[in-house]
Amino acid sequence: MDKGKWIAVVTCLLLTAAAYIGSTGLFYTEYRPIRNYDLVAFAASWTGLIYMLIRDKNKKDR
Amino acid sequence: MIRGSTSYYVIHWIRLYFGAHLLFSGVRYALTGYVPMIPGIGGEWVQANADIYLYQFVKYLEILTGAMLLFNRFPLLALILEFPATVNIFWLNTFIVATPRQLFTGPQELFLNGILLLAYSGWMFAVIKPKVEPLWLWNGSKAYTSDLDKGYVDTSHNAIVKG
Repeated sequence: MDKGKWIAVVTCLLLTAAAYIGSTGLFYTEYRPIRNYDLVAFAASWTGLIYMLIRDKNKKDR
Repeated sequence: MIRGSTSYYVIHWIRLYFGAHLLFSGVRYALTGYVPMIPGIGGEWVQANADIYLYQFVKYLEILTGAMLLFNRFPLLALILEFPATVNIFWLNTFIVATPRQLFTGPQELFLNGILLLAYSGWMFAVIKPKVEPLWLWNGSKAYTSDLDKGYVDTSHNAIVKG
């Protein structure tokens, strides 16, 4: 894991937080529990990212 | 986009997120007929769309485009096909319904589709050329002159890799 990959992970964490806040209304409107709709999208995107990072881990970092 | 770069991973994360988001929405409609409660004229618009079967068409289109994005098959085509529905959702949520949550979900939809379209649009660079001659779709491969038409740049091998 080089610096660029860590920045990608942090960016995706920020996107996840933004999507979570936007969907639930946390901090800005009436709170609604997170939906399966959102959880499925989070699961797919994080599973895919982790798969790609593992797939590329033996490649020379740049 | 260089494979292994920061933007490469972020764009693929967004592709998977948007793909799953569309696929879930479409499949949920197909299985349960779920339609979100939309207040006011926005709800009337959605009901009118359902009455002329446009809403159903968009939901089944979401299944198709969501699967295309999630499984990374014809992603640029999926983004183009989905864009009219995205603009509709953006407009409806942001300017018509405009409840606090919709003020987030409307721009979110446009951001997801828009940033992905921007990220993949290098493959249709001709759209920003001021003067182009007609070229049939099936002759499109003749338009590519760089080594990138073979795939993506993989700098770890300092070579072009078949994509």
